[in-house]
Amino acid sequence: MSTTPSDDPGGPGGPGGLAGRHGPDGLPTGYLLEAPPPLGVARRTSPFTVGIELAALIASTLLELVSRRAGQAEPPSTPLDPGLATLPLLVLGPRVLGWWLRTYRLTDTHLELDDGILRRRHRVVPYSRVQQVDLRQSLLAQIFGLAALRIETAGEGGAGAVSLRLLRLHDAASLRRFVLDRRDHQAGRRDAPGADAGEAGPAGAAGVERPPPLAYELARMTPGDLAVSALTQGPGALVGVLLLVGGPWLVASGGPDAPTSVTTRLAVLLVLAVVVVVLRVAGRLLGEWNWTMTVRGDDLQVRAGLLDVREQSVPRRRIQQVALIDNPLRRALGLTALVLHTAVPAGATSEGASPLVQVPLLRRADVPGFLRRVMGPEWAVPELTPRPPAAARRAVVRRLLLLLPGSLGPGLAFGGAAWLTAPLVLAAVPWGRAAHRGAGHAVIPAGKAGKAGMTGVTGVTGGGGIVALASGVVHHRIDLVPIDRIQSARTRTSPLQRRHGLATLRLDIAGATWVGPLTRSPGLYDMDATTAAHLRGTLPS
Amino acid sequence: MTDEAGNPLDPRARRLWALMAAAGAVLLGAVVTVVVLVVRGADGPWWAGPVVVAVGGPLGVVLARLEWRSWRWHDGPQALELRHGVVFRAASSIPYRRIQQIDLERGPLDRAFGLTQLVVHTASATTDAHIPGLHADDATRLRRHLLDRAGVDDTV
Repeated sequence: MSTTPSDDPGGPGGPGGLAGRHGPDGLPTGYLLEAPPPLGVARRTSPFTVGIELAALIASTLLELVSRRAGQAEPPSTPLDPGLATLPLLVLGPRVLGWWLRTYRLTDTHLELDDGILRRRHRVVPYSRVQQVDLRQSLLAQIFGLAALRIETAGEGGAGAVSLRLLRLHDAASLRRFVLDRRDHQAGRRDAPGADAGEAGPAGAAGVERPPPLAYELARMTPGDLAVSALTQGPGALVGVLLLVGGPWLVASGGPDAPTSVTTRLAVLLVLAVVVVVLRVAGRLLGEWNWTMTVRGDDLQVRAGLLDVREQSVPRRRIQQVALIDNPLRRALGLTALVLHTAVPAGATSEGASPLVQVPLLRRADVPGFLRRVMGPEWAVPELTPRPPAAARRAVVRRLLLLLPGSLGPGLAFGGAAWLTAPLVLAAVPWGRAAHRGAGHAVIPAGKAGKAGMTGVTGVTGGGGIVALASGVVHHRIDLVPIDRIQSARTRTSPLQRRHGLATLRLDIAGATWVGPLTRSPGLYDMDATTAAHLRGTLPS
Repeated sequence: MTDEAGNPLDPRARRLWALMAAAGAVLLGAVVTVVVLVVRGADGPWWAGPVVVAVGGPLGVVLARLEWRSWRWHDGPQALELRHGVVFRAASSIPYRRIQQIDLERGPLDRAFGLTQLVVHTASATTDAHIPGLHADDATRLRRHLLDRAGVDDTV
């Protein structure tokens, strides 16, 4: 992995800007060298959009025809079923008409979109409302040099997003850059009367005719980095599944009469493990190939993928939470992964917008610099205040109860060699202690310069203080949450927790609905009840 | 120990919850009786259903009353504070400036008892801000008060 050496978050003295150049992968990263999209002209998406659908439809019709013929003893009298033959026309007719009537038009201040056949719709999307512009290329789109563009606007729950698919790659990249630049330009005009150039930094500098913000590459993953990231991800899950599923199978009904020897079964398990690991590495390489993170003004842009190329553009002011995620293997190697949570509405995730920006692999030593460059100078991984000693005891007891069935169960069920799993129960002690060591909380108080301006980038949070909550062993994560992004806070206590003066704290942030194992409300289990109540009352503001 | 600070729910909510707990026990008892009759026939333990009603009914009523007693809401200087729970106790703080929307909900049973549920929404889907048993007038007043504190103009 490579990250830029400078801590400058994109200031004039920062690393060389990419604006107006071709990106390292040949994709145009700026429209300045090319002709900007024409204004005031109604344009359509690429005719390939319909062409690809036509090809898919013809292919499926032919497939259906072949399968029908194969299923009949004698060929039918008419080679084409009349109903089947008219299907492409019936389906494609409205598609072609819909494509023809769907036009977009760029103006100096907004994007207009007209679509609909019977019910016409005219939409106006002011550039100032644009939040995120994502570019995506499927394998088929790559072959034809096309890309899908998705322009997401603020506060419409994902329903108001404009999806332009498919455009020529050059047009899509150019349009994306144009929309983002117009948005930044309008933001600059809006900020101009009261803007303080000293505080607003490069993105918020006063002035009506502001130049496009500087862009520079922040980090890049080599194929080796991606392979290491896949190899070191979730080893505990793999080992756990092998032990739970393979363990009993390995020792059960073993003996000279068994159909397969223990050695054979061990070999099968090992081959399975290797296949799982190889598939995981291949999946990571395909999904994250040439992963590159670029900073451009307030936007973070991530480009990755081999077959399905995606290019995310996330405004940093929409980041609600930063999570550092590692496991024992990564900790031993001094590695970690980083996930940025944005406030993408739940409705938008079903349409392909991801609320997560993932950095697959980072060196521990690079984390402070990376955080400062991405989020601002206030950001750091603080020293954590540990939980009370009672929490350590409960951590061991809980894991003891968790391991008991898995460790003694096989012995009780199968007897004999299955009792070999019994000593596993002793793992509860180091596991519980490690969990206690890795858990804790910290609060970085508000900076001197207040909420705005400290980061050098308009709108990026952290100046109002940051709270850190850490927990887990096998899946250890440190959640860093800007205090001014906390919507509300909750505490919860069970009878046993109350007996030991403990409580669970949860922080509610925007967009924290569950869309996968990486998303959850940041929280800490078994922290001191008084501290939890204090944080609940004081953190959200 | 329940924190006594804050406002309790309307007493009619206690009666409604107790009634629902008793009705739930009767329903469960009926289901158990039907299952026993279907699986084991008339010779089976037909008394299981009545036992479920006899034990579950009073237990449900007691738990409903305890749950009602545990409920407190308080409009603090900066945030709306909620506390509830008998076995698992939960407390929430929702700052006024984070409030995005306030809903008043009245189901058929709520209407029959003159009650209203008040649901506060923030930008987070996980915010737990649901006050289940307010007097209809109190709920309207509280909604207006919270909107004022949130700085949201309620006029159409």
